[in-house]
Amino acid sequence: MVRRLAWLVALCALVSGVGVLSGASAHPSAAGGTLVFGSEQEPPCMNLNLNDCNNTWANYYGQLVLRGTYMVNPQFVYTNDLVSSVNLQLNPQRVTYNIRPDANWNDGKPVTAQDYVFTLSTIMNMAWDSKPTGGGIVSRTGFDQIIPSKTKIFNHNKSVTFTFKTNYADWKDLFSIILPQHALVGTDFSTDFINDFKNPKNGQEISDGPFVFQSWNHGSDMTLVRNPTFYGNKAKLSSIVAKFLTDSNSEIQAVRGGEVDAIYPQPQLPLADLRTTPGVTVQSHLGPIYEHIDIEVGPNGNPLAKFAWVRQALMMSIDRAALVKAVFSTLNPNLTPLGNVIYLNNEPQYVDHFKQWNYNAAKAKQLIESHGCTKGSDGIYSCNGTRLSFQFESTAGNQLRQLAFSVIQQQLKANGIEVVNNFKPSNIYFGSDLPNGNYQLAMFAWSGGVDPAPNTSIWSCPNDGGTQNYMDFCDPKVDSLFKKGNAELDPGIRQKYYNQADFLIAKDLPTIPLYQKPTFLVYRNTVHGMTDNVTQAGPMWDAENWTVSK
Amino acid sequence: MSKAASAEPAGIGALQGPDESAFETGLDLVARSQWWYARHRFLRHRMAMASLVVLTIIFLAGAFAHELAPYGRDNLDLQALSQPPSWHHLFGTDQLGRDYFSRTLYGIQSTEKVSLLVAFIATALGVVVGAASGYYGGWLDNILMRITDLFLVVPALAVLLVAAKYLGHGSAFRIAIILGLLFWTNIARIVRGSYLSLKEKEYVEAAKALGSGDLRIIFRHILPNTIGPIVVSATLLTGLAILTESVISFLGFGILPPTPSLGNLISDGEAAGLSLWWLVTLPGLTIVLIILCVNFVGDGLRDALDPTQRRVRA
Amino acid sequence: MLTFIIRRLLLSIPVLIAATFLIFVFVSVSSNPLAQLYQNPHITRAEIKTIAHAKGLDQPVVERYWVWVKEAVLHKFGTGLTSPLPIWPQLTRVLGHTLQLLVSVLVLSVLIGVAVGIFSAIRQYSIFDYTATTLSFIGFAMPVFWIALILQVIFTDIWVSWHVRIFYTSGLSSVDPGHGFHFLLDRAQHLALPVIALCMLSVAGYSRYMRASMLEVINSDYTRTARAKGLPEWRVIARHVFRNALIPLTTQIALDFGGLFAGAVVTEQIFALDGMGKFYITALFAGDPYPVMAWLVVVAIMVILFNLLADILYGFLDPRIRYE
Repeated sequence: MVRRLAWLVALCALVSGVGVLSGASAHPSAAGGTLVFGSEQEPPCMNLNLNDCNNTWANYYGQLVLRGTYMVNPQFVYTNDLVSSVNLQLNPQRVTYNIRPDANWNDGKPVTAQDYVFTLSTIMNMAWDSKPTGGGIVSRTGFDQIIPSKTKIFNHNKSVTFTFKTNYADWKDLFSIILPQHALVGTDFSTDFINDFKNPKNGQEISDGPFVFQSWNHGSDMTLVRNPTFYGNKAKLSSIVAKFLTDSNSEIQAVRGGEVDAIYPQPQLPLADLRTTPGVTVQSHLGPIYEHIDIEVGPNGNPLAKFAWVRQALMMSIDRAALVKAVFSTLNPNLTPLGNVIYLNNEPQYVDHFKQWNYNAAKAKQLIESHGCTKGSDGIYSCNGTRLSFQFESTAGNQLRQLAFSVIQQQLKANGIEVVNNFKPSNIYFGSDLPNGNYQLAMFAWSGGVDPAPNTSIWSCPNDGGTQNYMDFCDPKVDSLFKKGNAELDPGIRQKYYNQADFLIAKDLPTIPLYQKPTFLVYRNTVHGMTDNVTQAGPMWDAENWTVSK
Repeated sequence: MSKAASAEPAGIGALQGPDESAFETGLDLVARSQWWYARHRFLRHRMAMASLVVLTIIFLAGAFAHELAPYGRDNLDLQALSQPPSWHHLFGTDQLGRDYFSRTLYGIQSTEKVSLLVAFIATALGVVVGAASGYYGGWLDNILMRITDLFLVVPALAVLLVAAKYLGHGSAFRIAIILGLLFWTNIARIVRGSYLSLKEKEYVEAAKALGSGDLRIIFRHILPNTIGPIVVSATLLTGLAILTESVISFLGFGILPPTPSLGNLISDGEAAGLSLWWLVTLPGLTIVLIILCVNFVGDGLRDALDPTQRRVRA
Repeated sequence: MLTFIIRRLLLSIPVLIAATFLIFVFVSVSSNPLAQLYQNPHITRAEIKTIAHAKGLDQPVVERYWVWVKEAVLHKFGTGLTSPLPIWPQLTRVLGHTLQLLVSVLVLSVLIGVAVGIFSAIRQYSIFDYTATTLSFIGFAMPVFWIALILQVIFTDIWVSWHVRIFYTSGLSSVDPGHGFHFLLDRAQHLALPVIALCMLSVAGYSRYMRASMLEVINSDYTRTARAKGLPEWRVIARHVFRNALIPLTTQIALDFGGLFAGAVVTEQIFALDGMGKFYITALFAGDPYPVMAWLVVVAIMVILFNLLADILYGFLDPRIRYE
């Protein structure tokens, strides 16, 4: 018995001793230049045009392999990537892509106009939506405006002109991923590029980007290696490894402890620790995702929400500046409230239309009382018998939202308005409550982009293209402004339309914009050349410039 | 508990009627019941007694949280964010400046609400099913045991997810019901085992011969003899319920913030960054203390109620 | 006995069917696997409808359950509704990882727990006994996720301060774990902390159980007889006491194993281990019933089998319980 125990103790000592000795060698060697990037999500599959694979991290890694027309740089400028030049002609709108002469696939075949045409026809093919797997095509918007029969190919297959039915303003975001026609023609697109980027015809990995897909250990990691035939700056690293660390706490410990070289986490409070951790650098900027509170004015919402003065009093009772400071001061002290639902704070077209409703407790109180509301014994107003009380929904399990709610609750209570916690798991929240308008106040985030066109679906009347209008808000003037903006090709005139729409939205107040969520790019000091990019291009936009020193 | 004062003296004078001298000296011979012995054994178990006292203090602190909390449950103090423990704030403050000691007291209140309810539901259900299963045997036993298997097999998280959608999220009562429905199987097994053995005993035969109905036999005769394991299980179940509540709150399914529970305080603390050590450590230590005491009390009860125990525990 | 086993197994089949049906209905009715599509501004409601139809989501629940049963039996659980990857390879992979974790925990906690329990029983009321008892009680009382968090921070801090890697704090393997011995060592270093976190509770339980069981046997009549016969004490312990005391423990271990799966869920989450727990929670949050069902079938079968084993052992133990 005792002997058995002693043996066990000796074994433990041996294991930990060997562990100590091999500590240095167990760390991934930087000799060949491998960067380990801790990824918060594992991509479900790699075909970026299918809904089942439409995942942020799938997009980050996918763009290292499949390139597109433009690459958006951190200053929101569209820079040429696959093309050497692009021409825009009006009446009718025609876009001509002149593909780079040196743009090749890694199997030697050139990137041609055929690839562009094939991309268009694949996306517009409705058959993929009815396949049992894949989940259909992510987006046909814009592609459905192109008239396939009027497509012209010239310049030895290196240039192509597409003609549009009507003016489509967001044309720069089209053809952001080009598919290899020679590899995928005739195949079932819903089963292509699922586990890798293999060419179905010869089983070889295909790529026209700085990296080639190598392997995927499901549940553990994914490896991409340098592509020596890339037309742009050849990658300095020999490989990038995506390590899947789906628990946010473990990714922070991993970058502190050197198990990964970089992470790109969602904003969360423990990140504040990383700012003071030695050997680690944190880049934080205002991100494209902004948080807001929707007010449901339809039949399932709070009956008092229908009154404009109630919504105004709500917003004026929330001190957004103090909220941002309380929740984010340790993470990003430069955060400010957002005052426009179409343009972001760091975009040049930004105009604050919501400042008329900035925090003003006295004015809010006066507004409420002037409509005949009286304060009850619990400090909450009652208006004609109905208490000024709202159910407040958001996603359960999100610390920052929890904290934001607590601050908002306190602020509103001070002004006699009550909000009750009704957080739900995100699947129920996004899959059922929001689309059915089954809520009173809902706090969540929209992904703002460089182009305002996707906002149409949020602000247009529900039966007029407002597929994501969860608030039942309807203003025909806003609808017509969006339609004009989406067809206006002059950027100066275009932003006037959108800003006018934003002005009208701010007046009616169906939503309360809060703040842009900060991005966090965290990397060890052995990593060089990493720059954050808050546009949809993401942090890997210049992965070919990354290096790792010992 | 009947204290029958016996008038029969020991000794040879028994045949001559009551011994007058015993009455005069005021000495009575009293027959002790099992309960009396049990109670005394428990009282002499020092750790169990000490734990009982501590538990009572904690329980009362939680029940009277409203009166005892120095700062109130949700008061934000934006000037005192994330302060470590000090004289002003015994447990420090959290990221929004809320006094952590007050929140812990309210956390104890929520946790004890859920766990006591869970223990009650699980015990009641477990005893009924186990008794029926063990006493009647046969096909009823088979069916009930298969139903027990079903409850063992169904995962708690899936059920909680559904409950979140349809029954409203975060109510202590509903969480308690669901957890109770998932915990009764253990007690049912134990009770069933006891009934299987005890129904063969002679006093059961005797009761049947006297014409007692089944229900009377089950509850009046056999149940008191199985109280020991039941009480011990129920006590340990309370501890398990507390731990389970803290786990599901950690995963986001239990009591919803801002209502604190010991579990979601730890989960909030973990998400706040581990340099604010008091946010995770202090509620954790509270849980450890409570469960430690619960287990000692359970241990003491087991020793006290087990008549075959020879030595007295220190 | 054989008829008993066969009858139990046959009766377990309706239990399995009932459980899978219940959970399938629960998950399908309460969550929408297409939830993410509503957040995509480029997808119209008409397109969502087509996609839902292609995945069979517009059928009544009972119909969809039947479709799942066919998929499960004919195509090894098929693929999920939110991902085109086949479920069976994923399931076997995560099951393998979780079993590595749980078997390690089981073996280690039984070895240590039994050893401590025996020693405590032999030297009852000694310093060792008191220390072991106190540590056991504390071990019972600590929430596993709390220990896990603390261990994670401690070992990360050790690396940050002293640059010595004793144990890893997340994941199952390093990026390039090598083969053979290097791979095993790397895996051991990654699993060490989760194993320690889960072991504390089990060791506490088994040591107490073993101790109580040993004490019962030590004080029993047949042990006294053995001593009276003149056998040396160590022989008494090794031959008679130990073996008899072990039987109820095996019953308890069999019962516990099913519950270990549930306990592993949170640990796997905290240490980001690619196991059954993570697989299950990801599927549950995505609202995809197919992986949830596959997980449920595996776990249910394990629970049923181990409960059956426990009942058989229990029958051996108490001859008064007759199984017809």
